[in-house]
Amino acid sequence: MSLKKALVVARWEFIEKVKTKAFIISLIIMPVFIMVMAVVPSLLMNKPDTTVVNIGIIDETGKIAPQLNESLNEKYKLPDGLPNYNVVTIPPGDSTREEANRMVLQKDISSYIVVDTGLINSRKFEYVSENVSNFKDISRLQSAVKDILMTNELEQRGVSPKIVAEVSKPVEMETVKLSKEGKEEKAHAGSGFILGYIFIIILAVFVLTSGQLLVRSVVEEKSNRIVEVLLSSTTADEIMTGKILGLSLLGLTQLAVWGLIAFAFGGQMAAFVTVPGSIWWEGVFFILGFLFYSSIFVMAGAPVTTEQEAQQATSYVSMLLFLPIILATLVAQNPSASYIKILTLIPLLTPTMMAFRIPIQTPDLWELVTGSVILLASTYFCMIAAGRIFKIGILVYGKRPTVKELFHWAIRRS
Amino acid sequence: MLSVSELRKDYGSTKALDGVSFDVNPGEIFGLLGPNGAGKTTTIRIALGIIDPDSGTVLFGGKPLNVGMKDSLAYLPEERGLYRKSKVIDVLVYFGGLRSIPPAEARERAMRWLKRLELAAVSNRKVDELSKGMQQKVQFISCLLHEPDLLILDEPFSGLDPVNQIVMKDIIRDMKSQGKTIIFSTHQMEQAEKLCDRICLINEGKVVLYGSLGEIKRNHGDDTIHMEFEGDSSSLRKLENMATMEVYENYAELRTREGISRQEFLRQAISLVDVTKFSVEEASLNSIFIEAVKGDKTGGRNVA
Repeated sequence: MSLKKALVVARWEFIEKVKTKAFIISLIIMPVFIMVMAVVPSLLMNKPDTTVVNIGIIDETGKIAPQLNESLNEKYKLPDGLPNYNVVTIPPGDSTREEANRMVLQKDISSYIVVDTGLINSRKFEYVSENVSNFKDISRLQSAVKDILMTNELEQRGVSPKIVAEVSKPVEMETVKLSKEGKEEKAHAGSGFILGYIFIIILAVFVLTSGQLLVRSVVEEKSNRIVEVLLSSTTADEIMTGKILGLSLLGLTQLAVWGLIAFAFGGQMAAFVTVPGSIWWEGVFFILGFLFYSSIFVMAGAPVTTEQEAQQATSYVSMLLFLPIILATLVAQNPSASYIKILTLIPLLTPTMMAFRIPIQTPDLWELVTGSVILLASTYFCMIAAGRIFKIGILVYGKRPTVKELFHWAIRRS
Repeated sequence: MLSVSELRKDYGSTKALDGVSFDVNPGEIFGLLGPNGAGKTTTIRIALGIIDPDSGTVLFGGKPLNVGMKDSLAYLPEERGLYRKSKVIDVLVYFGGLRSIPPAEARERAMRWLKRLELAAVSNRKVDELSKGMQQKVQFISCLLHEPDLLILDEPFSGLDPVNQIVMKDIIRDMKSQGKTIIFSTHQMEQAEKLCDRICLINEGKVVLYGSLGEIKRNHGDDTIHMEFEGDSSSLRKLENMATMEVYENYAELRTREGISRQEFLRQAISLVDVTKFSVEEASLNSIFIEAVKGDKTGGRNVA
């Protein structure tokens, strides 16, 4: 095989795709989208209230309401220093409930709680609102009531309020990650998990971008019959190699730009994740994984004739990429469970499983080596099979070949 | 130059090629002729290494095709296509690159050709924005950039207007005068008759006629009647005692059976239509083609 012509193909694929509007838009849209998805909800969740929130209370005990008011005022302030919450006492009576409901509906109060005399024993109270998904208010009320009950109980048993305040101080926990080499490192809880996620998403985006472009460029060349001119100037292997090279370069460009954007905007994010020493294994699985999935895209893409078929073929392959995300919580809980180990050694899952597992808890060396050897061998065979399918597939028009036919093409020696 | 022998290729149960052999001599225009579906395109694809034959060999100058040799070949497929979203000049430079022409050189040559074909003004346009005829000319240029020794053209004139057909023919003649070899595949016999030195006629995957155009015509005899007329052409079709007969609206080409004189035919013809021109010459390639293809169908094909 002459690499020279593969490079000519690679250069063409890269330059022509880099210039397209779709690519330029994806460069900007994707980071914006991710930032919006990641940052905006948490910003909104943590956004402090700017106006006083009125909370009603139907207090049969007569003791909780003032305590609640005091406790909320002490803990939660508005940005301008005023109390965040205003506790509105609704006097108990026959039609109190109706009255309270009316107030909620008229927006006089945002919600109300019902505290009955049996609270101390039942340890239950009601929260009534039009919106029961306001997690911030709900959790604040819940913990405030709990604290009040505890304080009252302890004081009744003769403990001084000062001691109560001291013993109910919150506890902080520091997480330390122990590496394979026995090194201790401070790490935020869940940082490995986040890093794993980031790796999978990068790999998936990378594979999908390049893979889809690969399939689309094959479909275009087939429909324009350019493929015949290409094949009369060079060989199918060179075309395939050139395409994979050119489009991975395109994917790398995309990653580099996104990396720069992330670096510029997400300084705190980078500080939050701790990069383990075994990070270079990630690189190994990333590159092998990319080549492996590319060959699968070639196999899926070469025999199709239309855009729609191409979309279909690529969506099946894409699903495989996201499988480990479904398993994510299981992996995070017990990354060295034996069924996780077995799943990791299935070539289709190896790149993403490893990408996920390495930052959480680096697998044993034997696992890393076995995984990469199996993946390397699978990549090699898939590339050869893909080359054969490509050579026949790019000249097939109309009826889509069956899996059986594809298999025959793949094993047949030319 | 190119030597093809005993090519066989099956697509499922249909025999696309059933033992096709021919040689193309250096410096000639060789016509690869046949009706639609005869196996012309399959033959070309195999010759160029695009697909593999089931059996048979293809030799270029006595050697099997390798990647390096592909740089001295050019191929214009029947179904045309270019990268629609790319600039004309970029596409040409790419195709040049695929034939090992460095980008700067390819750009210069491409501009020269674009000027010659009066396309210089559109060199920076996207292929999409060009008319069909322009696109065809651009694709033709893409075959010429690397100054190939062997040019394979599959139906090069289809879809071109007469003016552009002349432009293309001039270029083809130019190539020939430079000593290049041209394989010209078509089912339009008038075109082949005007351009080709030698021909190979394929039908249903088999060679039915092969040799120099002059020789084939001479072998066919010089006793073919060419007649132009006005009147009811269908009445002529009813005439009997004809060995071969092709009747068009106001033109007929035919040979009488042995023993029937041309005068006898002319007498009958005059009684039916108004004959405006009558001559006895060599048969046209078109009627030789039709005769050969028809004879192949009705003639001695053994049914197994």
